[in-house]
Amino acid sequence: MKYTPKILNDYFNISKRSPIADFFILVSISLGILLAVYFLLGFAVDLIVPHIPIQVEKTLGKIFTLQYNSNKKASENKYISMVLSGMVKQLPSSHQKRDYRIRIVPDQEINALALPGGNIILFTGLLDRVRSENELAFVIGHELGHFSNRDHLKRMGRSLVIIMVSFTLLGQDNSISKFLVNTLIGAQMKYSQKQELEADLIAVELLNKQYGHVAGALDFFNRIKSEGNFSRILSYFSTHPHTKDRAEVLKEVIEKRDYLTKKRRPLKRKLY
Amino acid sequence: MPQLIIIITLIILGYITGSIAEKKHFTSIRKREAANIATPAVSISKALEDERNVEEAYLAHGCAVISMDYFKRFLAGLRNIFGGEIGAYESLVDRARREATLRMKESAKNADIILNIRIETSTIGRSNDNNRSMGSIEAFVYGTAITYKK
Repeated sequence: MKYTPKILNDYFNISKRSPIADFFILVSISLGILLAVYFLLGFAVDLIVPHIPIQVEKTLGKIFTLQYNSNKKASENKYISMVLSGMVKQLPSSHQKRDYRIRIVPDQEINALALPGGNIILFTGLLDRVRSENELAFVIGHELGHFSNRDHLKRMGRSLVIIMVSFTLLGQDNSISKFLVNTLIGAQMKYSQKQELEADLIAVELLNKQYGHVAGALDFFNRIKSEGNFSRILSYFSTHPHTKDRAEVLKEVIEKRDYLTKKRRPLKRKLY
Repeated sequence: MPQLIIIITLIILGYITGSIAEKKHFTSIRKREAANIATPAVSISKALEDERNVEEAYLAHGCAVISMDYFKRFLAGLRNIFGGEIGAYESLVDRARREATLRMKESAKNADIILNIRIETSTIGRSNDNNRSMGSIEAFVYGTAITYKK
């Protein structure tokens, strides 16, 4: 038998499928699954959250606020706490059970956060723009509104869902799931526009009960709009979207309910 | 967001550079395979019905290490979830094996035939403590090079 070497012209060891097509199909399938699970479980979270006892929320809050407690720069302010307790008194009694506390964190961001258990974080960037006690009360009332609607637990639940899904699918060491978790925690998660509006409505109601009028409610929106520094506004928009629409809706509600507008109370002391 | 941009950039970069390297490599492999066609490398241990006397017999070997690019790694990661053929790996393994075979042949230029060849493949560049780094593959080809008396 003679050995005859041969060159293979057609090669069978590598599949002919295009890797690019493969890539896009697989990416869209996995994104689709992730989204479907996110919406389904997110929906489940929305159903469960209103029934979580405040006691459980307090325990959760302890874990969540640890990082802010260890932050030496975070401070409290007696004047702000006084305004807060005034607003809390106007809440329905079932929502007064939380230990509401405000911490001030030095940061240029124009934002405020509601953390589980009644902890409110105000950034100094926001406090710099507050001109009257009424305005401050409105901002606090807005965060109290998030607590009343339990938005802070809902957003936590949804982000937990996405973290869990990506960990299960991709593994904890994976760069993609690390990326997802970092962005979710870094952005402190978003409220929907509807949640923001509802919190605004509660805030305006509390403001009316506490001061007898609603002056100051729209001041903050107007100032943010007229301010030229775009990059700072951007950070506010990113968690509190559509400032313009919200201001308009709020204005309509104020007119419809015949809320009064009287003289604003000036800030009595430095805020931080 | 910046992290997502980095990942997407790496995928695109990996695809472009990976495809160019693969195309070039396959062209070179085909050319060299044609040039080395005169040296048979077979997996049988005895040359069939060969009456000639052996002058020299020695171990011939060649090895090649090929790394995957970011795009291939990402694609394979997705395939790991859904199952199915990983085409991106197939070309990689194929390149490594053919390159190693060629290097073996090139190292035994004066051989008349290489008998009893074996191919080993292994993964390298994977650290013990985590499974996520799927570094590169190594193909090692060895056989007995035979030179007959003229």
